[in-house]
Amino acid sequence: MKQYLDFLWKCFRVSFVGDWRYHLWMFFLTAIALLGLNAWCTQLVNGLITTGMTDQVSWGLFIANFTFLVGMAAAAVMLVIPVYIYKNKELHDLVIFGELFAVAAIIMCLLFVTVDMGRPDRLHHMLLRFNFPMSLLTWDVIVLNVYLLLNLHICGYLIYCAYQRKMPAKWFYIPFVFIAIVWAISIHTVTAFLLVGLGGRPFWNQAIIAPRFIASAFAAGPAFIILTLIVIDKVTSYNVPQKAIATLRNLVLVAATINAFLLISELFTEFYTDSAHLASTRYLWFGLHGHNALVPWIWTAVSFNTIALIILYLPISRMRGLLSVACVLLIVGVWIEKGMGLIVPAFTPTPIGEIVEYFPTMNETLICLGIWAFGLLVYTICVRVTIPVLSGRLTVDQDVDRVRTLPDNNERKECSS
Amino acid sequence: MQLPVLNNATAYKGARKGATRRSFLRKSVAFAGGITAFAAAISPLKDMKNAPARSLEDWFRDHYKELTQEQKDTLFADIAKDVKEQYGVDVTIDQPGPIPGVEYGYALNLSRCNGNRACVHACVKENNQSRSPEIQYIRVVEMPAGTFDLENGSHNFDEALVPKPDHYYMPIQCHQCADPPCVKVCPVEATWQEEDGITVIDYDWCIGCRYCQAACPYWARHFNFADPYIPEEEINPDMAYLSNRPRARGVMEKCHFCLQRTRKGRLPACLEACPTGARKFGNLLDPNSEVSQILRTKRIFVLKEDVGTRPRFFYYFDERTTRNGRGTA
Amino acid sequence: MSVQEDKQQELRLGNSFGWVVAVGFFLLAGWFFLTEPVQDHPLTEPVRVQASIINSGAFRTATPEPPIVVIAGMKQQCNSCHTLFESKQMSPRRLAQHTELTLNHGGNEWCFSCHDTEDRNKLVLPDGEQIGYDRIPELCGKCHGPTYRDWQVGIHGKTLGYWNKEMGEQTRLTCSQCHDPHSPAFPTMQLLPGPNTLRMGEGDANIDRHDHKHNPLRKWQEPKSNPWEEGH
Repeated sequence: MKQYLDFLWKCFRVSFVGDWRYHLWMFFLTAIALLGLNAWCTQLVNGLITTGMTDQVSWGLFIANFTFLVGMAAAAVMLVIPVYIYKNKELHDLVIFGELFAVAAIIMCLLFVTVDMGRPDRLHHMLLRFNFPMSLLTWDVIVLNVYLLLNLHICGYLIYCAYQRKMPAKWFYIPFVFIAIVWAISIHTVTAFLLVGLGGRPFWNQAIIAPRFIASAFAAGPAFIILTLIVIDKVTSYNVPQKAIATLRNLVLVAATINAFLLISELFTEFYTDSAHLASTRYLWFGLHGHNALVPWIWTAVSFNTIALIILYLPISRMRGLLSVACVLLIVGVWIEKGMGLIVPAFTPTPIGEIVEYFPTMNETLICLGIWAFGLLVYTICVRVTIPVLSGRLTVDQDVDRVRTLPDNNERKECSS
Repeated sequence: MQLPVLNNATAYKGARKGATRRSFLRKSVAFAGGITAFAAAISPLKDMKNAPARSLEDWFRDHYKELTQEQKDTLFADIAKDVKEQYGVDVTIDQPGPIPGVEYGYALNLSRCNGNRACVHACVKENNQSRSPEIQYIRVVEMPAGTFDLENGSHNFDEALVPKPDHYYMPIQCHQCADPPCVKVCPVEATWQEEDGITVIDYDWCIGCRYCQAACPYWARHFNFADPYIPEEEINPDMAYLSNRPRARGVMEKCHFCLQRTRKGRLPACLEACPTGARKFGNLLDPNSEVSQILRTKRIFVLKEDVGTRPRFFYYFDERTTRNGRGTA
Repeated sequence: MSVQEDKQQELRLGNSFGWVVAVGFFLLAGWFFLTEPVQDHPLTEPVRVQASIINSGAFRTATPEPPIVVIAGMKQQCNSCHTLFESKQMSPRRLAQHTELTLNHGGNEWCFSCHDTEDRNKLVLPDGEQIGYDRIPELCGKCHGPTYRDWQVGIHGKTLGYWNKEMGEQTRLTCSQCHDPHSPAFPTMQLLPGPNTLRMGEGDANIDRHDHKHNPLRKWQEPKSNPWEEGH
């Protein structure tokens, strides 16, 4: 136990070690997170009226980010499956970065749900009365928290073993890896079902949403991990093999293609039928009765996704620079498509035909940025701690100073996972 | 490769002693800065006017359904005291239970309704709804004749005189569904259907996630985005716990068929305010009640039957048009 | 300069960067304290509707007795005058008296379809039976059969008080408490203010209520072509 606390203390100290760029980055994230916290306090004092949400559009940017991030969290599995099921060698050492990102993403998800609540002070009511299994929100609470625990356990255990310089016991983490694979699919499916099950919202009430969720998540998630790996490769001593990135690129390519196909299927069904249920879709893509706040968003998303897809299909995307561009476009595209493009139009028009447009307020946007900054802060710390541990520079018999003195030593021991 | 590393380490150790004090000071100041920034960030909380919970006891209180009558009575007395403090009005708070053998139904005659919105404002007054930001349980939609698609309707119609030729009016409020999606989705069981068919909300239990608002196909549920404002002189002092007592910020509310009136045998406020007699209310289980008669003899329909909610709010038309010579349907 | 030296330089920079961080935090704290939180609360003036406008009773006043008018300080009923002389012309004509009345009752264009020719304090059924003003629904029902049938069971008309008669008194309004017998069609009426929900633009106060060029955010725009409207 003492040893474990010692480990945590060392991790804490290591998270402050870095060059000025690292400190600048961390200060930047902390400052944004504090801005977000400040904005949230303003919201707590005044109520959700500080957001752009209304009775008409009762979910906005918070839930949009939530659905997107659930997908990002689930996407970690796209690294896990090749490694543990297809025994892919290149990704083997990198899988932990995906899992760590899942941890950060789930933390962001939980924060987004919390700030969206009108009465976060009553969160404990969930413990006293839990409408399970009727309410899909209770399912979501369970699957997200369990997924968080699963990933914390897997990452924590592997890192701690590396820290102790011993082989991890397979029985103590492999079963959880496989549970986590299924669970990753489930978190995103449940989140989709949360929306799909509402008969009063025809825009959501279609079976294709869940598969589309997963396809878009499996495109944007690995895209984000590619970006992370490129950054890690660039600013740390950690060597990311080119082959690993190529494998991920293929994953993104397939997922983004499937996502595009599902989107086309959906649009065809909607527009060819041209039924009364089309109002929300029409509002999203072309505007309705002169209201067209979302039209620029969705067309941006579509063009970003298309450009990204074209780049990815060209062999030229083996160049890291271009690949990064494609990944950024894809992430932004999917974020719009699944956030503003999926949550808001379902509320416009309302079930009784009223159109009220939604614009996020400054305060609301700050809260979102704050949560993103906090999530990236958590992720950066995780990566900061993991790299020296896995490369054997921070172990049970070595002091943090070794990390400090050998900041960029290229020595690297095989991660023993 | 090894040598420079060793040198580096030695140099570091040598420099370390002298740097320790400066390093400590620097870290402390940076740390203090962080703490100050954090404290400053949460400083808006000092303006928290209404404490989130009335008391610690309030925070630990169990779900309403678990409370004994005695606990409920103390709770009601506490709320009455709070209302007195906040609005300076003496109020009575109780919670009449469902009457055995009664299931409420509402019927609305679309041939009669002329869209004058008396029901909307009578409801606001009766049920102590917030005037700003405005919450109204009833939304009257002006529909052009010949369409039944609510997306063709107008919500903000403001003619000098109603009815407008060639239009009919469709007031929409909570339909008290027999199969309510809002109850199904609530994660904390803050809303439930009672035996007489009224779906109620415990404002002290709701966590404000607004999932029910997304689930409701009738746009019947409304959220307190800010502290509600009710003029003191307009408080209706005749209150019930699950209905028209003042709400707090951050919780849902909705039409409950005026249960503080109807469970004591009275008619809902919207019905009594309707100048045209378009609104009908009564016990669906009593074959001689006005609503039962309507269900038997009129051509009725429910809104959005396709979503499978089985509403207890029925619309009907008279067999012919109204006598002002303008078709209403 | 070797790579190592370069790195060391950066490390030192990283150390002194702590001061920058500290200053940054203090600036941030100052900013939080000094700036007011963004006030973006779209609260509008509450719409006040006088309680008296919402009439939770009968739409009209109607008595079970013939109306009483005060002429020369004396309370008079119909017969006070009508017993003094006979109304000879028993066919529709332009009235010399009662000019305030407009008869707009569809095919019913004759006073004596309802009023008794002999006793003006009474009404009359088509079979000649004299009835009092308290039996108006019966009279109306002679023509408006289905409506009368509906009214009898409570489908048509307005009910006040208690839905449950065992728990309190129920009042069923009669025909003339809502309809003017001489012009029974329900009149057009003024309407109460519309919704003023959050973020739908400014309140009604600044808007000319009869100008349909409202704030586009606030107003639903009518569908441009409505075949039913164009027909008129």
